[in-house]
Amino acid sequence: MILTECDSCAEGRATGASFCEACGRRLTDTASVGAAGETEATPADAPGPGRSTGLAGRDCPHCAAVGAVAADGYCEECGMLAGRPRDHTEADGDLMAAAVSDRGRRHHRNEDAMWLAVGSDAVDVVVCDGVSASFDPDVASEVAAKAAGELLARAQHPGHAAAGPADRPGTRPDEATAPDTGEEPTEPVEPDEPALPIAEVVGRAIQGAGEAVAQLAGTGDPRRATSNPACTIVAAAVRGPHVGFGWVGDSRVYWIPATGPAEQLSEDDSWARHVIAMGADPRVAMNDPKAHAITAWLGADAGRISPRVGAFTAGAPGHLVLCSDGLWNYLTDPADFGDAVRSALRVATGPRPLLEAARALVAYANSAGGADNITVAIVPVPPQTDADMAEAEGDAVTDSDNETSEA
Amino acid sequence: MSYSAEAFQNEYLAMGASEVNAIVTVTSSGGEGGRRSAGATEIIIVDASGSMQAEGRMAAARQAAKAAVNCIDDGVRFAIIAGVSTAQQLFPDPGQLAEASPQSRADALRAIDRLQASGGTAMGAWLLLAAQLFDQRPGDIKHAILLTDGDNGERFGYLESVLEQIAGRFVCDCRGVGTNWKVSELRKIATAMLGTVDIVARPEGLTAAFEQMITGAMGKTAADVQLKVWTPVNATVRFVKQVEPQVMDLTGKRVEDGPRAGRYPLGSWGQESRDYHVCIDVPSGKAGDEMLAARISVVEGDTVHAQSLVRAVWTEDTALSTRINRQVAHYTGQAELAQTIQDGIAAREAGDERTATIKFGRAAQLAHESGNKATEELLSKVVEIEDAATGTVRLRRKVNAADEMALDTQSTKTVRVGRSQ
Repeated sequence: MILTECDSCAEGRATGASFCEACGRRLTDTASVGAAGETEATPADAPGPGRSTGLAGRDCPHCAAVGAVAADGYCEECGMLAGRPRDHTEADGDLMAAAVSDRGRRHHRNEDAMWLAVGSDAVDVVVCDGVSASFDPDVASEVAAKAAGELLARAQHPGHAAAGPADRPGTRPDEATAPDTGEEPTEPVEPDEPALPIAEVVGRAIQGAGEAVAQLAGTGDPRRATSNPACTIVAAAVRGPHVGFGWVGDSRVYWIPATGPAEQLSEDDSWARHVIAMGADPRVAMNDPKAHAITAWLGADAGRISPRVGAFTAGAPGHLVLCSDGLWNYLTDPADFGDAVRSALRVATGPRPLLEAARALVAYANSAGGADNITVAIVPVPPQTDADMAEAEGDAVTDSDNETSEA
Repeated sequence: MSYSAEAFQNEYLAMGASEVNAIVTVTSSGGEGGRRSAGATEIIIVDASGSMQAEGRMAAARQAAKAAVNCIDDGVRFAIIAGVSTAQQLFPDPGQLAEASPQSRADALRAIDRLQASGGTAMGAWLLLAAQLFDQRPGDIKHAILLTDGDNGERFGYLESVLEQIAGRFVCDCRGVGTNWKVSELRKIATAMLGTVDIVARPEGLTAAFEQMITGAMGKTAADVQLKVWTPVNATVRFVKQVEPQVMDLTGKRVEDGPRAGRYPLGSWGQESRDYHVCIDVPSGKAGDEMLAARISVVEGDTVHAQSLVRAVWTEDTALSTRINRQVAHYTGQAELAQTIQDGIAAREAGDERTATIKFGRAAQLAHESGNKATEELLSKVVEIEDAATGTVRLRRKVNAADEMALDTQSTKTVRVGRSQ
């Protein structure tokens, strides 16, 4: 894992970031993830001529032929693919955040993608899950994660240094609102005021990611035109105790406080969620083959994207967890999900506890079958302090100026 | 000259599936266009056997040979072989090649006028002489035209052994004169020599046909291009077929190149594009496994011009594994169309009208579905097509022999699938 520093201001330390969190300059070493030292993910992960996977000369993991893996990643003896850079990637933001993405056990490639950028007191995180039935879904997820991540990094977050009352632990999913599209948020809940503008930024970043994915249909392989690349997205920006989040599709974000019940903040855009809302038995609905059919996604055929967003200010310590359905499908109940995350965090006692916990959750999904790609990101959120509130009063004017100029 | 190779396939296989299909489009570009005036050799072989005396065939053959000579550009080396029981060089002197010029062409035309039909038909011997003459010009683009009534009189198996010996040394296009020749016999030669087979039926179209043929041959810039196919251990190549512009099975022409690879000759290349259907049998994999089923390269000697990968990915998702690749489906249909027409003609010759009707009906359906209008039109001269969509046809009582032979020779011509999807 590589931490990159902005040459200009030596301020933004970022993992997986392309731009300095503080000044917005492009960082020289971009988007570095991966425990095995792989560098930034490339636009299309299909091995091919002239494209090195960094696996050349290794022993084949399938037939054990010595040194038989060719530069394109395939064994020269048995033809099996030795691996891809995206099979397992990790992003380590030390004590600020960590994320792990894994191919799972049943899928031939990892169509999930993630983005993690950490700055001082700030984290941007995006998880995307390619729609398998579309063409090049892995490209869709990668493009979406990168586009949303870069937009989050570029935005002047109005809530960065702002603060508010410390007594609200979070917002419930039913408080999630449609993203701002020029209109003022309707009746903002007063205690969430500093966090709400962050949610708007997240909503705009998801819109931008949607446009980037929609453009893929007209580029590259002609088959993209008939079955356009598509993916889900869940994104969050954390600024001190303030959290803005948003999603399209069935990738989820949870709030897991140190104590008390875990909350699923997002509400799946899925067939199952839809029929459950109409009164179907949740267990029956989740076991239906159509359960995972999503009703909203990013892609050329998605029409106008309406990401749902939400915001809250942490009043007590907790963890924000974003994940793809490869993990939550084994933990559909938020209480079970929260228990699994807390258990993983409790066991992780090494020098990189967040990364270890993320790895443990991925391992859990794999041991449960690993039927889908698995991606999970863990971001601890500090509670708001009295000092935060006092500081926020003084910064309020500047922040609102930033917001205006950005909009 | 630069080449590109692009594979079209549905790489997703259902669990337990082991057959991998791909259409590989090879396109060349950048070579100097037009016809060459040097570095090329053309040999015209004219059947002058006794059987050519009948029905004015000799006159038709003379006319065809003259038309071919008139199409040879100045500077190109050429020779004419008169085919009888042995191979005799008609022009220039035995063992020589002439350089094309107004004078040498006029001399050649006079030599053709002296040609008289007598003796037997020995195609193996004629082709062998052509190969010896071509050997004088290593590195040249080498093209031969064989004009014959196709009734080979050599002992059984001799022609086949000659073809095996000379395959790949030059390209030979075969043209049948009259209607007494056997399409299957000339197709055997054309297939071995990577050429085409057609009927010389209408004298007025002759010059244009030769012009086109020689332009095609002289427009080539690369003489010996090959398709190298690497496959993993325990995999076998079921077939490699050229499927566009015409169907040509290359499977039997494989020359081993190392333990996991083989080379298939593609002949000479100008600026053009051809499609190949590659079918590989691989050991079945587990869910999520991805295998390289074939690494396909366009090679010339040791130079690799282009490469494309054919992959196999096993999935439990039937939405993925049941996707039909349009290219593969289209050319599978075109290959079936060619075979169905040939089967129909064979059944008709054998007097099995029921089978012939079924075969021609299926052919009409395939031609119609794939938009192969040229084949559909030829088919309509042999059968009355009542409803192409359902394949309802009636055999015509009176069929012009030339029409049936034209259908047979053209059955392998394919149309290219649209690349928009």
